[in-house]
Amino acid sequence: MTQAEYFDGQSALSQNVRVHIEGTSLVIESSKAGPALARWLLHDVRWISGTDKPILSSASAPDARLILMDISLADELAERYPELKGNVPTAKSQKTHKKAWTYGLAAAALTIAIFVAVPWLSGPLAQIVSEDWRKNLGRQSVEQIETLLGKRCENEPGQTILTNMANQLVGHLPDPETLHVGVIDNRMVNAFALPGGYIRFMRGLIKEANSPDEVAGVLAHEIGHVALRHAEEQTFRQLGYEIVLSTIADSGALTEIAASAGVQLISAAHSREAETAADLLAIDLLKKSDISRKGMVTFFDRIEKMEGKSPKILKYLSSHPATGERKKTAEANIDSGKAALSDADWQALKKICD
Amino acid sequence: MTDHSDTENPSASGQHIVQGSSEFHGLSREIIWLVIKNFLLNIVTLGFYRFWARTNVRRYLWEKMHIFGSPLEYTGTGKELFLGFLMIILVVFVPVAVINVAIGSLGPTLHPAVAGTYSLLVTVLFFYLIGVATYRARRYRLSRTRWRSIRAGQTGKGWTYGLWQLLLSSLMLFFALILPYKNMKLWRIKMQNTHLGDRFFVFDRDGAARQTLVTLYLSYAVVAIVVIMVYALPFIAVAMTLGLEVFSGTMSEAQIQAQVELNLQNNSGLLTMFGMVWPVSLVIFAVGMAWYKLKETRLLVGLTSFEDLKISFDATLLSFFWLYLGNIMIVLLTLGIGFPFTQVRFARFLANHTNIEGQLDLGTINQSADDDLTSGEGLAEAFDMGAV
Repeated sequence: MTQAEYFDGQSALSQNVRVHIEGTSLVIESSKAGPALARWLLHDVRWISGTDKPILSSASAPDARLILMDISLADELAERYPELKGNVPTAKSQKTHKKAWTYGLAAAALTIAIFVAVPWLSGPLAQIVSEDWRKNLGRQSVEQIETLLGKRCENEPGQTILTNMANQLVGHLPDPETLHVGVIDNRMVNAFALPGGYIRFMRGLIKEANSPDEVAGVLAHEIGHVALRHAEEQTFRQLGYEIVLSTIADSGALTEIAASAGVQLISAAHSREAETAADLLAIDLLKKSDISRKGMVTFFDRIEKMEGKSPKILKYLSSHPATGERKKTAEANIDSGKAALSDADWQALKKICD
Repeated sequence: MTDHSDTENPSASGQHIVQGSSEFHGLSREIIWLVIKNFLLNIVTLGFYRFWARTNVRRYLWEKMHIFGSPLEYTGTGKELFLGFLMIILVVFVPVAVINVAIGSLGPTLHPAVAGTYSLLVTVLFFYLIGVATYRARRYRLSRTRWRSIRAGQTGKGWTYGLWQLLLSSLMLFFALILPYKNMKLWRIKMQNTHLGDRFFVFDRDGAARQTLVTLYLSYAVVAIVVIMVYALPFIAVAMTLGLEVFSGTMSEAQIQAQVELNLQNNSGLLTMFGMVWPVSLVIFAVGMAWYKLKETRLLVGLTSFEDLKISFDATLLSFFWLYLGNIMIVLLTLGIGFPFTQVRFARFLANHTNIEGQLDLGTINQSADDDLTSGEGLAEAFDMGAV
């Protein structure tokens, strides 16, 4: 016999009742004398909730509620219907608190695995993917970018001059790969390396450059990215983070901002490393090709002026190393060397988009 | 809290007349393992568990919220949320995407006016749907809420509410002063349609709405004047350092540029002014709007009643500020995974600052007909409007 509070499903008023199991039914009787108020078949009984006191309902009377004052009846029901046990706060289910630790450890392990493993795995993955896959990815990205930013400039002999310059530089790599170098008709001062050896300059950069050495410096830097497979690595990293982000970005805009800010910081740190590595390789390639490193220095110098004096915090957020730092790296390795292009070739390259 | 002595009345069993307050008994640490489980399952299911995750958290929040000693009950399911989401993707987003593709491929042959009208229509449609979504999501949550076995609910049409919201919000574009009226109107629609069992909430029983609107307008005017003054400061700062000519339009861009450069070199304080004034003005704007919003909420809640109960809300700006600051910290430090903890804090905040005066005769409240909602919050889910 268990004391309970009973709502008949019609009114907000409740009644004090006594509850007991009789055969296959749960019998609900008023504490005062009188006939049973309700009989619920045991297999109709549903657990509604019960962190404090178990609350029951019945499939036959879904609006009715029965709040048990005594947990023993709940234990008895759970015994008879083991399938209900998971939802019942019986004495036995206190074990779930132990489970919490297991979940906690698993979550911590997974979080670490993701934030450490994604960057850690994407590097080696980028090295082992097949040539075809990389070239395909690169071709697709280039097509997309060219529809967004502008058509390719293919004026001769500018294109051939650029290709030759790239081949000369890449020839000094132990394992030279086929490059696809081009210029996009866009006024931005920029250049980038895509997967599969695709390198694109913006027209703005060629126009803005004061000497062929500057173009050679940037080209060597992008070849550095290609050789180190940075674009491929970036693709894998992005993919990994996107999977993680899609799972936690569930709770509104603030969460998404916080999460992507975290990822932004991690990947910015990563790209800074990548940029420095590409710089070092570029210096090596320029040296071996006997091209003056001065162009690289003067170019970084000018970028710094264009950027102005931005606060230090931007250094941590931006994906490129602070240009001051880059200049030092390049300057430390400055050496004599010949000009990257003859005057005539340089003038021809400048006209690649005209 | 109220100073009623009988708030600790765990079950009002057998009683006809009840009184007391709202109390929230939940604790963040009680849901730690739930939050972790939800996070893990979200990862494994690529985010699709979110509907069930949200339901689990709600079930906890509801059953820890006690009104007059009796807990709320949440009967919604993850499946309903998921189906609602799927339905909206099919009914709204797929057609719009198909039309977009069609328009895109016809692009060059279409008259620019046609394409322009279309994109305007789609924008308006989406604004309208956000209003509808807000209303329907509220209806779903209420219809899945029970107190003392009695279902709550919301009547009225989401489509009508959406029209009101669209109309009043677009008027805001031309006439920002409509805000207090707009918010009162929308609150009135929501409250008058809210019911517990067969009894409806009442807005403005004592006919004080007009007087309240006047008070709201005065508060709004104060905020507006402060905000306008603060926004004018940067311009005044510029005018003071560079001279008024910069606004006259007679100077070329290069000349202004040169003036700025000169001032920067002389370190005449322009940079500091600009650097300081904008963040300060933003903060003042945010604080001003929070102050107004809180005042509005207090007044609108005060106009709302249920049977013989009068409800009031007494949160102060400072307590609101602490709640918000704490919640931001939680979200940032847990990368958003701990969002449900902020919901627990919010629920406690609501319960602690809501007072209920008067007595309620339980015998007058009876079950109403079942709401025929079969799926939930589809629109709101699709617009990613994760509410409490």
